[in-house]
Amino acid sequence: MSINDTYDVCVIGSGAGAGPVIYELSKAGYKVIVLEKGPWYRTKDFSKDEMVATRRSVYTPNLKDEPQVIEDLNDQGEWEAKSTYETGRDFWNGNCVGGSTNFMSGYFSRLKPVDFKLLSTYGEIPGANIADWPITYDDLEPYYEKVERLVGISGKVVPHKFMSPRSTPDYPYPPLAENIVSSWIDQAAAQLNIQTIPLPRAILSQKKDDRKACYYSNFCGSYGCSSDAKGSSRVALIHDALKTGNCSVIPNAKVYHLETNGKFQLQRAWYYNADGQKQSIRAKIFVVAAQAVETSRLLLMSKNKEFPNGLANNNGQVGKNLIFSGGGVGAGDFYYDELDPKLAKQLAKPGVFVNRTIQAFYELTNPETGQKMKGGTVDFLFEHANPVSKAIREKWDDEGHLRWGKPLKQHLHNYFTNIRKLKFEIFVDWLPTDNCFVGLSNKVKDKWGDPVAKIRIGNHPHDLKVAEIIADKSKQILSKMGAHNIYASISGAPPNNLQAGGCRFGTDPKTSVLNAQCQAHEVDNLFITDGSFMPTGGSVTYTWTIYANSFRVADLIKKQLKL
Amino acid sequence: MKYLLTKRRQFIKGIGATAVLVQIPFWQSCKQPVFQGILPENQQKILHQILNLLFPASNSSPGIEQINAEFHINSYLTDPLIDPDEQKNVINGIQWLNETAQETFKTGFLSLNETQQNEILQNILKTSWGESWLSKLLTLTFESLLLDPLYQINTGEVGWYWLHHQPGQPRPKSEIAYPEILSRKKEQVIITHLNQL
Repeated sequence: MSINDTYDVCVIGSGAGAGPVIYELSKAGYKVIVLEKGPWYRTKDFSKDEMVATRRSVYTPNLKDEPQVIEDLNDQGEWEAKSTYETGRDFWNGNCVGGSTNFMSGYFSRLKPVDFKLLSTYGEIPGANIADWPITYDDLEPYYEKVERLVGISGKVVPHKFMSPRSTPDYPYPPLAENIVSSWIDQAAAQLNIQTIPLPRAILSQKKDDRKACYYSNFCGSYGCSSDAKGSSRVALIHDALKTGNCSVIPNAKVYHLETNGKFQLQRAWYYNADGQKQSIRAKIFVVAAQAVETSRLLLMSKNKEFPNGLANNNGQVGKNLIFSGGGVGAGDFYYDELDPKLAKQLAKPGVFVNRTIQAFYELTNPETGQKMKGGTVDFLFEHANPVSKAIREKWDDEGHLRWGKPLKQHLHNYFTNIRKLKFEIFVDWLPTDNCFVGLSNKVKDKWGDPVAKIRIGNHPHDLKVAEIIADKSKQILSKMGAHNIYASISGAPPNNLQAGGCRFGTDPKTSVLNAQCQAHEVDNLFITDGSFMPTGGSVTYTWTIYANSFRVADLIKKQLKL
Repeated sequence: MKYLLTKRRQFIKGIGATAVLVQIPFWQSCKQPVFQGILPENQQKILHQILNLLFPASNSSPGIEQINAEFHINSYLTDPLIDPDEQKNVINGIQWLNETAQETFKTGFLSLNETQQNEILQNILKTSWGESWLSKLLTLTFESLLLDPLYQINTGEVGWYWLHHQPGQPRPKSEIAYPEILSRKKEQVIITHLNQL
């Protein structure tokens, strides 16, 4: 096929929300074309080069070419919009074939049945737009299992109070190798009567087809994988889709407009190619999975007579109820010179993982009301081994003064050679509110002259309250382990890599953009399969759920194409 | 007022600046040939001197020459992919430091003795621009210390050796290093088969 033909399916984006659709429909014999904004980095293009991965941010757009606008509360309590080019506050994630799944750490947890019915379980919270999902956990369970097999998840099932129901006894791949610190976490938590469980990872512990097992490089998150063990959409799904001969991928293709035919149906996707020229693709069905913010932006940019407020937005819901993962981080330090040398050597061992999570706090008691309330998850991990980033964090002393000269060098040497920092990350629901949404900037444009996304990032104070309770419990574990310099930082600042919502699914077109099949209420050949569909986000990272839902929607699209 | 000529993009740091009294315990004289880059010789000498104050060599640790910090900063200043405003910030700082020396001691920074240079450094740390500028120089110094020697810095892995850092594998090769890797963003292709990759 050529780009002048009409494809069965045009997929915009190639990350977790796109990969399953690309894979399933190509395998089913449909002609699929993928328009990916970023380049195709091959596995051989990846190395453990901090310059490329983080210092010059090669995998994300240049902020001068592609700024975004963040609207946050200023000191006077007013919403203030600033371009990310002005502030340097980069909100982008991996822009390339496979999207940010190339650079994820692959901490994978399923949602729980309660996450699908947060409103009916715990009731309303003033100021929050909580809604039950139009599907249940049981609808998604077979697809969670499919992700375990096809994307490849390693781990060990250990029963616990809030365990998500499973249709299979265990993960298809055994757990990855662990550092000794994992057993220390287990012991300390047990003394506090808190159950720890092994954290599943979307990383192969054993070979799978053309993909090799993890080789414990010590540089996982933020880096592309050199053994293909990490379950990126690119190697786990798109490679296999290409093998069918039914899939075509155009990298460096930035979609800027979705064109309808005057009958509330999409007919063409318009994009800029690598040279900046305008091109278009015709298809029967369009699937948008450009990550939550950019998906809403594309719909808002796609205005015409039928949709004067943006595609599928005649009810004004596109971009609304954007969510992130709420929570925060904490850490404690272990000093090698305080440990038995053998233990110190084991603690210092690079590469092997911590892989511990606690879900015992998934439901908590509200200290103010005595009522049950939704809690969250804690994952434990080591500080990233990136040396430049580590050094940069250490240039400020505890009072916020710049270290320099001999004291700086003494501090750096001690930090790098005598300390291992164990971190924890807390994940709680980011409650959807009227103050967290995506719009279009009327001032700032990108290098193509299109309006950039304006993202208001207000959070609900309830999120911080829940996270603080979990932080206190997590700090107790580090304290029991004998860690030094223990701290936790709970913040309303959103993690840009954990974004969802904006095109929530539901049964009522007045309050949702998509129906339960993730099909636009107003445009029946438009599906959205990234995290945009989620009305609430649960208290774990999103990627497994996005993968699973995309497999679910792929089955529904197959049914529609057969009609 | 030169300090109001602040750059459009401010460096970001949450905590207000106050000076820290830190004694520089030794002095490294500047007898090596002056690094030749895009900066005029006098500015390069000032930069060299400031970097030596920020990151002095010792018997047990590398200094700015061993890690080729001036080369790295020159690469940063001449990189067309770096925001010109950020590059200008680095150069403006050198000029403003020298002007501060002129205003305080009626002579250029390089003519000051060790105590006076330290005093100037501590004074500019109290200013927003000064703290941001010195912080940026430290960041670039850390890059010189700890990025892959492929970039002609961290010579002989001296920085990794000093801090017992074990690099990840595979290490970068020139064709996939910065900025060569960016050529992928210009590829005009349609991928239909795995063997195209």
